Amino acid sequence: MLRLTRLLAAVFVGVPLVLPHNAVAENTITWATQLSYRDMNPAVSFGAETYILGNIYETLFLYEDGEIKPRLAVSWQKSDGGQTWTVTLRDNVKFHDGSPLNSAAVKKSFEYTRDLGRGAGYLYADLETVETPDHLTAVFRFKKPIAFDLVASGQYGSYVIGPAAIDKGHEWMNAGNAIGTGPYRLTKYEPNKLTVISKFDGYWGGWKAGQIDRVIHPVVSQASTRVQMIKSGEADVVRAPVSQLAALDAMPNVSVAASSGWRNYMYLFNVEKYPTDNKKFREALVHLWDYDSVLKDIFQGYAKRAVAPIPSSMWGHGSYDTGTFDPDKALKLLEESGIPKEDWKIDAMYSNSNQEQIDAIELFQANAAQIGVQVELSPQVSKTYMTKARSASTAANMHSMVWYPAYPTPSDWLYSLFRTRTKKTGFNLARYKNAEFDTALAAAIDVEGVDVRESSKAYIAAQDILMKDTPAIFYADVNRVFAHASALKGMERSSNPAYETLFIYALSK
Amino acid sequence: MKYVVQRLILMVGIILGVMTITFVLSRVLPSSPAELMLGDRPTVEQIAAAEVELGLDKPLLVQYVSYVSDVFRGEFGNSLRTGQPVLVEVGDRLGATFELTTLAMLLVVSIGVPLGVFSAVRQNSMLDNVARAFAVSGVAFPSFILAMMLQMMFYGALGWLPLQGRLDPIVSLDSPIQPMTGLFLVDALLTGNWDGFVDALAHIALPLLTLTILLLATVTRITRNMMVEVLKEEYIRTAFAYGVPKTSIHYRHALKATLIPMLTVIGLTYGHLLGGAVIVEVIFDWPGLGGFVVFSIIANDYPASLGATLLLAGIYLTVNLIVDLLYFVVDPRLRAQ
Repeated sequence: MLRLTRLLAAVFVGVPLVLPHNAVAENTITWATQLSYRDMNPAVSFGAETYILGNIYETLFLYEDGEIKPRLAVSWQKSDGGQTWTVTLRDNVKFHDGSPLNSAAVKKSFEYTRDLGRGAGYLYADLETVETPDHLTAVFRFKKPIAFDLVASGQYGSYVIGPAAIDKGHEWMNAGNAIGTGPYRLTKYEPNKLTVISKFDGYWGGWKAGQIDRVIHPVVSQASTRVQMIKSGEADVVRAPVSQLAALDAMPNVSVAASSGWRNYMYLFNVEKYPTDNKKFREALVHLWDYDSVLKDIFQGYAKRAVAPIPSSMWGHGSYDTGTFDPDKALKLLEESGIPKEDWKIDAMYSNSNQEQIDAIELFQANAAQIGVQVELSPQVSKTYMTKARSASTAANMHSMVWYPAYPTPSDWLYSLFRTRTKKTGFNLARYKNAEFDTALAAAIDVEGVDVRESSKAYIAAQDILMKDTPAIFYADVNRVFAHASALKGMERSSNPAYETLFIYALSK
Repeated sequence: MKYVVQRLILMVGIILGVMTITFVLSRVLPSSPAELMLGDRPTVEQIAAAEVELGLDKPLLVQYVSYVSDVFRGEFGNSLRTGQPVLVEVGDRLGATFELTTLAMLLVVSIGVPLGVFSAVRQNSMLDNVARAFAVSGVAFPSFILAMMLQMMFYGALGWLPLQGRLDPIVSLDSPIQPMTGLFLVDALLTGNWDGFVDALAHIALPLLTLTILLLATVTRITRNMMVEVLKEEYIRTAFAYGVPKTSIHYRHALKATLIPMLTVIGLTYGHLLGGAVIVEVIFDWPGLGGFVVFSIIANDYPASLGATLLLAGIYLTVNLIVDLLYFVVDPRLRAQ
């Protein structure tokens, strides 16, 4: 036994002395992520997978700087009042398996997404046919007018999938196989452990010296571990807690890249539950939210003040006074509300996976207590959270929400979060019901495919109605923030608010 | 043999009980498995369709019967959270957990038992006091603090050992370990993959050290206390009087008398560890069963949590059966009965 002890000790102590220094290719980067991927089929994915799929697959159009730009499509035009879209495809584009991108492949991809009906496939529920008059022309015919250029520039449900991948099926793709046209091929996928993408030599955009050849993308669930990895140089890109960013940015080998994003944070009021069913009471609560402290101390400056239900970097947003921290005014409104003081009690439910939401509601709780409003906090595991928030019997007075759009449109927020729901709550955790708002929103959506400017005005008109009812505390439009190795160039170009992914193609060492 | 058969029948009954309780719990928890299956943004229509697909629209009894018959056919379904077959997920992770915990137990036994004997023999000496202080600290120290301290020391300050994971991604690409047993160290040796072996050894070092320190205390103290009692026995004093060498008395005669309670402690600890050293696995991103089970239960990923729970129950019961059978090996009196 003693001999065995000695042997084990010798092996254990000897490990560091013989550790190989793994040779990392010059243009390989390690991007450590906290996210686990599940749906690697882009026709199904409606979540975190887009971070990696966005480098493997491409959309027909690219939404950038407020404009729709060519990507796999080089030109397009609409007719029939937005019901028909004729798209000319880029020539000499190849899928990762060497097959050409042509109109037949595009038709197959969009019809596959529509027919599967999962993820964001509902966006194409009104797609009737895709005609292919020649190998580079695809004619999309819809039952109703649609802003197809906007929808098909989105990161969900609109990636063009190689025909061979569709033939092999959902299980094949979900097992970690991919055939796209993007600059990177999926070369390794171990669910919840590791994803690796490698440069696709045949990429239509070509390659320049210094661009990234390979991305090692491990799942590192602990934030503290990711911070240590970026500090030591073991990782090149990570998401770090906001509280760590200043310290990381001060390091010579680490930089922090922040750019505007389309995620916004809000607490939705349950307008059907006493006492937040009282508008004055809701208005009072809005004035108990310390917006500046939340932005400065909790988001550390990596978020902007919300001016509307929609982020200010998205087209079609209104501009409103979303609230000012003013406890005196809040007290006055509470007294005017007619709610007796002994009923100034509410509960707030939130997902316990988001530290900023937790910190913000705890600050709100403390501020509310100062004027006699009791806020009971109800943190929930993320999936349990949605179930409890949706059920009338377990719903709280306030529910946390972080939203981002499936494609570049204001309707995603307004339709999903505030449209009247008669049967199931869906994501309308506010239980907001307003026929006037619904009508205005429907008008905006209808005109989106015809005239975006008119649609923008109509969306603002809908928001005007919504904001009068104070359905939520809209408190932050958050930035996309990554800590990265200082030697890594192009982080600002790799980030686009319309896409959750980091475009690795824009990076270089 | 009769005893073994009785125990096996009992095991089947216990597993059926575990299956029933876990199934009922998974159905009464306030969450929506259909939503979990559908990802972040399911529509109301997609949720309704998924509920039908998962059979959640059927009466609970029908769902239970369907589940039990699937299990007996070896079909555990796909994890709602990861989308992968439960058997594949659990199988992958079981290898990682088995490798880590088995090595930890080997280290703990091979260090803790001699240390306990040594402490018992040199009662109240400086070394005994040091060992006692070490044991108390080991028990009292929270595992996550110890794990993070070791990370800071061996990764942050010294740069000797990797921070997390089971294998460096570069090594897994350039020198992949061909899976044979699911134990990376064994597989790397069997295939002559030296780079893979060294890297796997380096990656297992910190979680192994953490677990070893945490468990060493218990085994050392139990060994010491039992040895102290045994050393007071008359037959030990007689052996000393006959001039039997000390080492032989301590390790051949006295230690043997402590084996039954020791086996119980080691068996229970090992069975518990195989269920997943959750905190250690999570902190080191060790892809074992512990983190998988916890995250599956939290998310109410019922196919995964049911599958993993059944497996864990089976493992725990098997380890206990083996321990019980070892009693017969180490104690001739039991064999005689």
